[in-house]
Amino acid sequence: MNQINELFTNAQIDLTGLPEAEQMEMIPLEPAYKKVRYISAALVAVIMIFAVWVFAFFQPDLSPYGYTGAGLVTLLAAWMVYYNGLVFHYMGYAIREKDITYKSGWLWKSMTTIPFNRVQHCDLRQGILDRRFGLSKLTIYTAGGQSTDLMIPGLLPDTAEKLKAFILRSTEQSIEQE
Amino acid sequence: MDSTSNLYQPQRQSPKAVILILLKYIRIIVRQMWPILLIVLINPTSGKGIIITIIALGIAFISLIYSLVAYTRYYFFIQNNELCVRSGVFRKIVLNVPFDRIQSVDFKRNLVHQFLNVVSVQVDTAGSKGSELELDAIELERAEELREIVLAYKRERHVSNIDNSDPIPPIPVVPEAPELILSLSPKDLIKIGISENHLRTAAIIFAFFLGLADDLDQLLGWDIYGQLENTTTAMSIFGLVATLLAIPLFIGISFSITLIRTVLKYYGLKFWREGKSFKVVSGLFTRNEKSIQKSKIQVIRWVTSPLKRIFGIYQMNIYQATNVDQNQDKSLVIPGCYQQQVDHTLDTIVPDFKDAVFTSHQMHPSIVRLMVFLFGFIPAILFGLMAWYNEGMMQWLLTLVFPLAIWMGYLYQRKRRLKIHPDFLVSEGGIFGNSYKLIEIYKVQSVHIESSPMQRRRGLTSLHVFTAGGDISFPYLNATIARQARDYIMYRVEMEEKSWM
Repeated sequence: MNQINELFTNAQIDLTGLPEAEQMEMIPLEPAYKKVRYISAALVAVIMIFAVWVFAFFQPDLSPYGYTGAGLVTLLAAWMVYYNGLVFHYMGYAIREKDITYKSGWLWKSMTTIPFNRVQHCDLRQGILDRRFGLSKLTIYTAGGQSTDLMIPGLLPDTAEKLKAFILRSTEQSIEQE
Repeated sequence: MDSTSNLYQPQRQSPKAVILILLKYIRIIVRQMWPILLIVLINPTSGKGIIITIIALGIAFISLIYSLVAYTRYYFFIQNNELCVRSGVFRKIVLNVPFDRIQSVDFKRNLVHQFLNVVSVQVDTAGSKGSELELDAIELERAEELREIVLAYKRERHVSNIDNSDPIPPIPVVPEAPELILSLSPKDLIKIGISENHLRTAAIIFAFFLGLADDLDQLLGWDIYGQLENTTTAMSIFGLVATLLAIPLFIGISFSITLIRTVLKYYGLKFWREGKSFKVVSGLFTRNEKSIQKSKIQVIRWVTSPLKRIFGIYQMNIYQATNVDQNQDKSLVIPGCYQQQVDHTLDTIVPDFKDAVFTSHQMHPSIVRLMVFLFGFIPAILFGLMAWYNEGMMQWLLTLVFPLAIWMGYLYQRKRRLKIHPDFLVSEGGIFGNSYKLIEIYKVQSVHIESSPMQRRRGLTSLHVFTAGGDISFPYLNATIARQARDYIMYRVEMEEKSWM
């Protein structure tokens, strides 16, 4: 099959000269956020494990399938907790002059980029666990709908506040230039 | 009323808002629980009824408390040319909406508002979900003051930007004569009605009756399935004949419903261009008029199905920047038009598209394997197990989903194309029909790239390009191409001086 390995066959711009989002230095999230991830995953896991074992216990005629299933769910839950903590190391954000990028995921990787001149507004949120560990979440909204909103968790409230101010300032500047 | 209200100070809504917030919650709860409420109304004295009444009262009480707390925690104010809202019962939510992003400030008054002499203020940012802001109830004077501040700010900005190409002035200076792009004759409508998706109507009817049967079953203990089963097993020959008769009847009913619906809905459809906006007028009983400003158009999509291709017609959708919730409402739909009308419309909206030379990229063939696995292999295994378990000969036929998936997966991969031009992005696809989706690159809002371990092994990623009126998603694209596309789109958007709407 004739595989085309160029973006444009009639390129008018030098594509190699474009700034590449891939080569950016990613800023990691606050280490405390790893704890938040572990704790929230562990809470879900404990509830799951508890529920399946109670179920297996009170349905003895299902044994040994009930207990095997419960064992499997336990392993799965443990893996989920481990994975939740692990992916922390793959999360990060990067800010360039004109856009912001957030990446996440270890097995399923994803990366979102939003140009500042498309930002609608930003907000800061704190969940109960976040408050406990002194963290904030920054969400950046565009007009592209819910699926394009970019949420950066695990920021120090101070950093989050500064980031938000920076983004809003950049957004305003880009609008003024228009 | 205190006239010294200062909008620059954090303040609560009118105390009357409590009533409105409460009503809002009750409405939500009632919408969720109407089947249960129905039981209570039908059979109020049964034991169940009493318990449910108690629960309902409890929920009402909790909502009242919740509304009170929500009210006391809700503050709004103006700061640095932004409208700010602080709220949240359990979590703290701070929302800032810069005046620049505000599209409109509308007041809404329903009966309760009128009775309480307050207004609900809706701030539309034409942005994402969650960005629209609603103040449930504030006094009219204060609402007007708020709107005046926002509008004054926008006027000022407008004056300082007047030499620039600013968004559309409210009244076009030279009103152009409206140009009729197309109108549908009754003959066209019948063609469209015939070629609509009848399977969908059939599925909707089927789902509706199934849902109804289910509800009645649970609510009133009418065992509809049991009765059906009894009648069909008792008179199996009669049952078979009934089924054989029912199928064409069912198809016939679906067919007529779609046909009638199409004709009523799109009767006398006319598609106009009026200066800088497009307008569709249609409908026999309720005449609908929808218009879209040209600058707000984000995505244009035209599709044809095998049936539609016989008549040579396309369905066209024009999507505009909108809140995601209301996407359906705000798109212009032209249920049927011929190739040259599609070309003409495209020519009017995006004049450069006609001569654009595209570079096209295909999906990696390994997507077929994934699709066959998900939509062929797994269902076939499940159907096979079911057939084996029930010893039903007919059920074995369902495993034919496997070869079907191979065929459809192959067609899908062969037809999917991502076409790139410095100004445009087109996504082509369709299994039996053809579909085309066009966006202008400078209107892109954000770009998302993701990859699974399987994709990475082959150097592939999924590319998602979002605009304010829809997106283009292209899985299994060469990773280098996807990255280059992302970098190029970002460059193009960041350099663009034209407003995206």
